[in-house]
Amino acid sequence: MTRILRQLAQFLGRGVALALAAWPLIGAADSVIVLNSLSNSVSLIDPKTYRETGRVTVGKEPHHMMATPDDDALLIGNTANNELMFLDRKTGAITHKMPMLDPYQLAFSPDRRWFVATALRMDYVDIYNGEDIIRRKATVKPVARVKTRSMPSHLVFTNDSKLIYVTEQGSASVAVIDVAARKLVQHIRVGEGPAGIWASPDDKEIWVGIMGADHVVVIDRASSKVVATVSTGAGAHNIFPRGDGRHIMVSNRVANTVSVVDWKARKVVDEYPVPGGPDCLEIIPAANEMWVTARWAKKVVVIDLATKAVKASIPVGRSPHGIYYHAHAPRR
Amino acid sequence: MSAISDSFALVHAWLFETIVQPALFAVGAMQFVEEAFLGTELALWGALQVLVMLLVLRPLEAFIAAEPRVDARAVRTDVIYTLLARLGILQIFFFFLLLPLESELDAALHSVGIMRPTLETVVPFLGENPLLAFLAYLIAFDLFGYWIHRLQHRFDWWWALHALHHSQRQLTFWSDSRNHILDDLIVTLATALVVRLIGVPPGQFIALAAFAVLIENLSHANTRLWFGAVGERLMVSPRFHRWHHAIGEGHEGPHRGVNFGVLFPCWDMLFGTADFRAGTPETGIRDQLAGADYGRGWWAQQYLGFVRLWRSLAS
Ligand SMILES: [Zn+2]
Ligand SMILES: [Zn+2]
Repeated sequence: MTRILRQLAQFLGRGVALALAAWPLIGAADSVIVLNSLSNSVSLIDPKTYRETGRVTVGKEPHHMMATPDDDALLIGNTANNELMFLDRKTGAITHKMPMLDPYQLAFSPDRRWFVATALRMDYVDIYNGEDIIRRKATVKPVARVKTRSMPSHLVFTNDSKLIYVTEQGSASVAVIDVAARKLVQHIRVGEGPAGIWASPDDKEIWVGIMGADHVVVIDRASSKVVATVSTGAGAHNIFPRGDGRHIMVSNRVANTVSVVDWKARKVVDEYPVPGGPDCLEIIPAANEMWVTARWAKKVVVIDLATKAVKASIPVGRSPHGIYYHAHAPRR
Repeated sequence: MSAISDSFALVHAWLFETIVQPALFAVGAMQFVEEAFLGTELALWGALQVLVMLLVLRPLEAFIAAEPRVDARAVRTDVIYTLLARLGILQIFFFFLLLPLESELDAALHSVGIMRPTLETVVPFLGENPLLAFLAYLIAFDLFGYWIHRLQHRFDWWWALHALHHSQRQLTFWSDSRNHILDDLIVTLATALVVRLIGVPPGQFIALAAFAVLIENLSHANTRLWFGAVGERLMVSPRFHRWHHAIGEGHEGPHRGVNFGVLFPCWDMLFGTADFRAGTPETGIRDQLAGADYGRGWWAQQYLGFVRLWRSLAS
């Protein structure tokens, strides 16, 4: 009798342990991840039920995140306490941290050799060995620290990994950094409050969202000159590829819209109303949805790409900024 | 509770999207959009705070007053100080004034390769407990506040400015923000330096921070209220802070005053400056009895502050 009881107890115990171990996985394995920049946390959202299933405390003022090149962790930049954090998106567990100066916007070079972080508060761009990050070294040192003008915010590598274009939000310009020379080689004047930046797949153009205006500008790489402006909406902020190689999405913070731009034709072809100060977005092709962080509304807004309807408006933490989903549209 | 915070968020977003952001856009200052968003929230908290002051502290002063309220004009001036501080007008002014200096400071710290330690890196477990981290920062900043206050009394030039805070003979819950702008500026700068050295407190506890400021307002209230023998030693009370403002007590003796603590009296106990006596002494500065003039309105008080500073530096 006691043996049966003991076995039963063991069995139940194992069951409980299993359930506990699996608990964070439930709903988390397939989560949309959102950074709440002023709540110092990450929200895990179930894309099927549109419910927040968990919230993980991270560092102070996390703004942007990206997957590692092998997609085995999400990198989160905790800007206010100078730290790069590794998050397992399946479990929501923090698996590694390394000290890093004000990591605002993050990027790996397409060839994985370099990892770059802009320090918006400090006016630097730090270039690291990509391997140091991928291998999760305990501490990393930048191979180069490039001083920029005021508020370097977003950045993009050219597809050949040779140059970095960085928007200087406080200086109305874009800085061009030569990675091999580890030097800032040029400033290009673009307009007040440049933010999001994107390189065309043919490597010929750089597109920049001009927050202080109602348009994006096109920089011709050959001449380093602004050759076109495309009106999208007031407070043109961030730029994301649609995934079809042809269109880009531009979030307009003041106008509360997301514009769809045909970059080859340099024309706005469609527009989605998104309330609450749209910022970063992620496109989920399987559901034909666009998920947008609404900074001012403390919400993530889910838009049906076909009907333009707001499918859900999900309450999250304060000032939600970066957003990530593993089955996202191609980044092109 | 969540209904309150939801409606707060709604008002915050509405205010920002219909007034603040369009204004920023119009004047071409969109690069400060995030600071402005936070600023709007703080101003809204400030407005809420003023409301709580009126609803809670005003009746308190009416029912258990320490002394009769006879000088309405003096109180009105302090209301102006409070609105300037709570609605963020001073902060906007300082922000743009200190912006270039701040980046110089950052550049200087980082050019020598300092990766500043934060409280969380020194005490790692605070990193996983934001509420505890917030309380740790609150205590650290209160200790800093205590010593800043000691120095405001210690240096003659600084006292020339801080005397403005002490010149109120009709102390009320509005008196907390009654400070010389140069004094405010110096304290803001010193705070920015400390923030650079030990890091920013976790930002999600604005409600708690607002509560802390309410305690400061309460400590100036014209009321006989005290917190009991134990409570007096845990939190600064109106009775405790009144001794700091008392004529012949608040700026005299070996430490040039008593009860410098802002939120917690423990620093005064630790450094031997605590005075837990009962009583409702008259407030002000001794030389006021001999006719010294610190000004009636805001402008006069600011001007006379500069004059005192000039004299003290010249002598
Ligand atoms: Zn004092
Ligand atoms: Zn006082």
